[in-house]
Amino acid sequence: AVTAGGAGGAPRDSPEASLDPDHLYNVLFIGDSHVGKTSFLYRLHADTFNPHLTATVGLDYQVKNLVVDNKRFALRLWDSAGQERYHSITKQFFRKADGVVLMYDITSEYSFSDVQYWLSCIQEGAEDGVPILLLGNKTDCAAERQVPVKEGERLAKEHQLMFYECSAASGHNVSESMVGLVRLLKVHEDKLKNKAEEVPKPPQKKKGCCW
Amino acid sequence: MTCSTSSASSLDTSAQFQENNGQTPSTRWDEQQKVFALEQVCGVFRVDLGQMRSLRLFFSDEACTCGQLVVASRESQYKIFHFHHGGLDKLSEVFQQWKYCTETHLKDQQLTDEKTCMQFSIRRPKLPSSETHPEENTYKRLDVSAWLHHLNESGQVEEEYKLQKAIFFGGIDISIRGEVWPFLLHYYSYESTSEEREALRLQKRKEYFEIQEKRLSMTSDEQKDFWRKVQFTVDKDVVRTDRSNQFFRGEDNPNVETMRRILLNYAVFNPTIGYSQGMSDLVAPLLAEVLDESDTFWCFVGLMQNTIFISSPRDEDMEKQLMYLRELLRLMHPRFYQHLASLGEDGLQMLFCHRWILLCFKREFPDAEALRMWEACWAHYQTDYFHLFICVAIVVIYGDDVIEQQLATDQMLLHFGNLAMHMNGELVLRKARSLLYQFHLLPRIPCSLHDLCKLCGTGMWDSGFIPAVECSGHHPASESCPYGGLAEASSPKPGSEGKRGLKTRDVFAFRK
Repeated sequence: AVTAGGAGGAPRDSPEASLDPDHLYNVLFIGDSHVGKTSFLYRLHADTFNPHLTATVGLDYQVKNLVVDNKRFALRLWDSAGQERYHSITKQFFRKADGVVLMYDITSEYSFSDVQYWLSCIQEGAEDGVPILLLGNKTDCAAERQVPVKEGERLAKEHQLMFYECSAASGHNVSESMVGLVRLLKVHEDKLKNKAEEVPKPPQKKKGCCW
Repeated sequence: MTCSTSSASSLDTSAQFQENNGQTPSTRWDEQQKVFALEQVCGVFRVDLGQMRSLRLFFSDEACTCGQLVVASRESQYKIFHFHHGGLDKLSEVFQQWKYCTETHLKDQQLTDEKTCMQFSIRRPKLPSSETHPEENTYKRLDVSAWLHHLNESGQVEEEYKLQKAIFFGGIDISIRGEVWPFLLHYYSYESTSEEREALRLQKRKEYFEIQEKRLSMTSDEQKDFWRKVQFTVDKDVVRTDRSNQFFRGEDNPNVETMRRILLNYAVFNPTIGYSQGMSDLVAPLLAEVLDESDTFWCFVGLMQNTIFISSPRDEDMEKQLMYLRELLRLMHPRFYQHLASLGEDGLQMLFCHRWILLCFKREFPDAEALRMWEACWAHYQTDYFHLFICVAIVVIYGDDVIEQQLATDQMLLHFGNLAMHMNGELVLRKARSLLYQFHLLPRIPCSLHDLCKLCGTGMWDSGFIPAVECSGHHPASESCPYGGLAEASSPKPGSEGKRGLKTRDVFAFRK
């Protein structure tokens, strides 16, 4: 069995990571089973597609370093199990997430209708206004598409989410969507900082660095 | 000491006291083979008295000739010999003269003239090393001939604890896994005869196909619901389970289809559990060894019901496992525990080991090693939670970096995640066995761990593991400790064994 578990450059070993990142974000991946969360992360890390990744049990973790707009970003990517049984583990992590990637499968209407459920989980558990990226995966399977692009766009607009369609299998929009998310996270962080400066009393503990 | 339990009215005169302590490994092996030969004779109880913790004589007559001899092992198990026709006085003389024995006087006894009890503690110059289990390397892998030795003429397992112990230490040869696993997984009972097992298989096969029939005759609404809740996930999971195993390799492999049917039928058989991701990881190796579809199904049912690890999807089960594991770490690896505690709630959640417990190390070790761990856990030798000792062993062997570098919760997850498939399973298993041994040697254990070794049977002893218990608090609403633990002694003092022996126990749960 092959798993994509945690292979992404350990902070201690990877030369990339030894450069101190300017910004560090925790990003939680959620969505139904089989929508392709682990495959997406595997593509992001190894730039290949592995069709035999086993189901995620519990929570996996890896680090991805990106340079965006001449700034170094380290993303801590938390891969969660999609099945309901494991949601209690996932839920504990909502409050720690600086950003959430909510993924569905464009060939599965069910996974798209469950986006509502996942949004309610975010609302319940995560910080208010946490940046969310809605990802419709598996664009390579165009023939089996059940969820039109328009539907995804509509839902994203309604809930003010960033939206991309992508394919972990072909690599389509994988890094593009991540770069988009990083920019969004940066904007959100700046906003929080400004807010904290406005408030005269105890400035909020710097979020996102250490837990 | 050799003594026939069936005629324990008088002690065998050939009682031996081994005084040589430093045996060389080779003579040790020979010794062990002799022991095995003796143990094959039914009803013989044989231990080296010099390795015991204490010997107690309880007199039932004024002349102090009749009564009971109670042997207490260092691992807190007990054996009782009844002397109905005298001889106990002679035995007490022998004990008084034996140089490794010291008589300890009981406090309350001094008040009365009548002698009702004598207590001897065993003094050994050196305790056996606790780095490895003293019985490590004494068992070879269970192969066909060894297996057949455990069976009598009608195919019953003669003494299950001997089989379980052999499996715990030596594992099972691949060639007979399919035959022995059904016993470990409670599909076959140990006392069943070959004939009875054949009848059971037929009966169970019929039941299995009835379950399948039920699944295939669902109404379209039921079917839709079943597809959404179970089948959809099963279909996607089976094709990505154990692909590297020859047995499941290739497109349209019929074995994958069999695995699929077993999982679907299980969800019909047990709708409360249904299908949880991870189950395919557990059923695949069973199918690859047991081969028959119906037999595999029932073994899987046994795995889900009768073993304590993984199985049920309720959170409280996981919570209980984690609580035990935290307590074990606190006891056996305090430095690591302190590190976790310093991280607060997140650290104590121990996310890094959830998958270890849920899939019983299936994704942490290559199959050959993981399955050896499964067998050791299924043997239920001296504990029902051996998998937690394996968790502690992993932490002991591979967790030093975590403490030295003060790794945070997420880094710990990364640290142990990166170790998956790169750890030495044999080493971990040996360490886990020695940890279990050390656990049994502890002068007292916290009451939170009282039930860790409860269901696993008594072995050749009359009692299970009866440790001295110390209350660790945390009893909701009730003030007294349900295990009779005392809150006073905060840290167990080494060498306080003699003292604890003075307390008379009333918690003996002897086997009839």
